[in-house]
Amino acid sequence: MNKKYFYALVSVLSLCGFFLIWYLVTEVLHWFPPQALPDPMHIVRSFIRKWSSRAPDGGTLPQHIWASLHLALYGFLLGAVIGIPLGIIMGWNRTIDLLVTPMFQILRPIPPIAWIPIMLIFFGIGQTAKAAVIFVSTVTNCILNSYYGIKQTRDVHLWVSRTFGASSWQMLWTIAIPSALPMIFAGLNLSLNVAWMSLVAAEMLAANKGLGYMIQYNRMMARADYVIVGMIAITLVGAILTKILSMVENAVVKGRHLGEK
Amino acid sequence: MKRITAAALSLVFVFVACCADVRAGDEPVLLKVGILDGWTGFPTKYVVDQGLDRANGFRIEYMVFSSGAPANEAMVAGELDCAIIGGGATIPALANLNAKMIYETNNDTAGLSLIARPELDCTKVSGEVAEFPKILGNAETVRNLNILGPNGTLQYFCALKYTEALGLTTEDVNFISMDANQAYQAFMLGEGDVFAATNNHSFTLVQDEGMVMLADLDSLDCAATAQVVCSDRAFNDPAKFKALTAYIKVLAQVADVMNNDLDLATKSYMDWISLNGGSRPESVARSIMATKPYYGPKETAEREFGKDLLDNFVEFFIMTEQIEPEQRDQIAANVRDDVLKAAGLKK
Repeated sequence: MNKKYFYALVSVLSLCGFFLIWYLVTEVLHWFPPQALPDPMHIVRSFIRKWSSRAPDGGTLPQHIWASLHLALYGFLLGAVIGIPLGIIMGWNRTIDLLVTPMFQILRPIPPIAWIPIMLIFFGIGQTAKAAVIFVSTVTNCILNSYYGIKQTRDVHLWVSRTFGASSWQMLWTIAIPSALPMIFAGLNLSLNVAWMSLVAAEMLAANKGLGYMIQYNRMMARADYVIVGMIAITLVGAILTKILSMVENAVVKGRHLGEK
Repeated sequence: MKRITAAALSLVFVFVACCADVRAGDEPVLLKVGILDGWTGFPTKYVVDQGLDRANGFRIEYMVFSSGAPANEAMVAGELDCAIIGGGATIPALANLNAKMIYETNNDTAGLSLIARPELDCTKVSGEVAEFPKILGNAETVRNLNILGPNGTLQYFCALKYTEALGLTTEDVNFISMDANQAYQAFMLGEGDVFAATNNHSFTLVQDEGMVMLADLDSLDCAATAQVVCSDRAFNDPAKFKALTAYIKVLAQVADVMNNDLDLATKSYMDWISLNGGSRPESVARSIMATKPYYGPKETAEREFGKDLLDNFVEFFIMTEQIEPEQRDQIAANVRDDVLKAAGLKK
């Protein structure tokens, strides 16, 4: 069998296995009360119903997805626009590295949810504050990957370019950044996932639409089915965005598939 | 030698396990109770502090929550047998978790209010709604205001009731859902126009900060109660049912103690708030306790059990599409006076 089809088959089988186990523990073995973990078919029905129903959280699934997409991309792009150049500069310039790294290392482990009171003070309760909560979680990966991408530039390439009289700027622009691109894109990929993971925390700040809000609201209403629908929607949209990013990466990063060929 | 040692150790473990079982058998039945960090919580702490649980043949382990929703989750997970929660969390518990409401602990109406900034036009308009003459504001002055507060709670209910009273819908105002403490913090930082508050903040905001109360549940003619809600599992377990009966009986007695001793109630309330990281001026605590909010045996006998919840909340939750109309009967069926009858509090 073609390897590509074999991998696809394994993936499909693993998913089927997951749903089968879910079905068994809920519908057959009754290990969990349906209020805590509804069976997969119940979730499918709820997913379809939520597509057009505003009850009980005041929004349909597309409305929540749109609100979250807007927010997550806002926070993600903010993280990318600030994080990538900062990481590149930190990796390229020793002085800036020494200047920024200690502060970065102090702030890095703080989880997004812990930033909520601070963001409230600085940005109020609007979209910017929520985007800022996502930003603090996405910027870390962008900085780190760009930093290490630049640091991993081969010395021999830099020596050759210096021998040919390239300026520091030329070395950065034509050698270091292109060679760091795979790492930078890996950072973007991670950041995109983190942006979606931070949605619940961000929409905890203040919201009336969004997938994180939908999950929290239905948690209040003891609607485990809609909580899971929200989780599935986050997964699906996250997967679509990751795919889009991977396509962009394929187009931008030169020689990405040379090894495979 | 090793085998003999292993066998001897096994025997010791079995013996210890048997002894532990005997001890467990002697122990009174454990009741895991969820209580909130507000005024509904401290009577249960009083029960434990005074040893009234063990004296009545059961044992309480309590966990403190800041709202009813996580207490509901803990009940589903089997971590709690029952919890004292407000109407906002009781409806989903009865509708979606098949939990049972078994006792109304107190009048939860005081302080559930909408607090507005004094410069807003709506604070200067009064008496425009004939049905609710005490509320401030009208449709024109309230439309498009930003209301901060946690969704799915009594505060949210109060905000929805208020907008409805003015002839507005949820689309006419911007209700921004936030955790209660974050909403308070944001409001104090100048965010939002109106804060949907509980008694944790409403009295101090009006007395000390010069804010204006637009409406509260009293002025909206809407009585709210806090209640003991137990899991279906605990309700149907004979040993737990017995413990629940004893707990409710003791709680009703403590209600009388608190209602009849204002100093004790005020001090207990303030201590409880302080234990949970808050503070309450004594004047505020005293004025709340002076309303004698707790339902003792006499009030419980006289009250129509569950009426406030069913009349005020269920229809409203259905109207706002938070629960399905077909869940109405299930909610009514889960308002159970069996424990009250077993405790001799209802005939």
